[in-house]
Amino acid sequence: MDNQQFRSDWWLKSSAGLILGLILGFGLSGLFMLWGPEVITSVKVQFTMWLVAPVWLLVLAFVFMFRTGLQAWLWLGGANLVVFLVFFIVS
Amino acid sequence: MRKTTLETYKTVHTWTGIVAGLALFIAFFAGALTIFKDALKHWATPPVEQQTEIHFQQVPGFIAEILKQYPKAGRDIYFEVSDLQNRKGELSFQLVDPASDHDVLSNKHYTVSADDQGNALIQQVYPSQISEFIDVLHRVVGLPLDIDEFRWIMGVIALLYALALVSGVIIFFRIC
Repeated sequence: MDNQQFRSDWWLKSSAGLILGLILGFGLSGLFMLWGPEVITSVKVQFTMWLVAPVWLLVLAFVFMFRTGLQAWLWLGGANLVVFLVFFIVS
Repeated sequence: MRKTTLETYKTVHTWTGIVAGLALFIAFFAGALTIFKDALKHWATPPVEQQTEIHFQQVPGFIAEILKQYPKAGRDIYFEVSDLQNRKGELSFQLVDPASDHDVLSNKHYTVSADDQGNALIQQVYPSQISEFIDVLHRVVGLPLDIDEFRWIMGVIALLYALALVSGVIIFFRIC
């Protein structure tokens, strides 16, 4: 995989960032709700909610670093799978 | 690989800029003016004539009177205690139309003063809407209605702005 040629794959990469990035944002905010520090509930809820957007946008911004669109979908899909597995096992 | 990734981010930067640039100009300019919203409103509104200053002891009675005549005033009653904007002792309230979907331009504003007998005198006032208009403008990208659908468009523009920022930094420092 490492020597694979770089491909633009605009649609695949953008959709991976938009869709999987958002889902990953939800997943990570869920993990924060589980493991985040115990502070005032409203503060924690607010932080959990606002955590989604930066994660989503950062994934969307850096998704074009993947060499191919397929790699983007596989890596981000895998990350999502791990995050959600952990979330559902722990909760 | 390095060069192709950089080319990719140059394309991202170009196209997010082309699509979002004009809308961002509106949002930034109007948003910057909105920082001075209250000062702008005060500056653009003609003063109410014969406005008598209300004393602190009168306020509870007047608020009761407001709630009697306008039960919907609810939590939107204000009494100015600081004299930062020359409005010390000003008692005012507003009525929000619940069906207006946060459209602040349709709110009705009232001011309360004391008449000769010391009773509450409630008058509707029409403060300048320029600062509210500018605020709305920056939330709906200059589109004609203050509704959620147009705010969503601004949300998409903000998303593109994040892409433009990160890609710009990547290109500038050639991090890839």
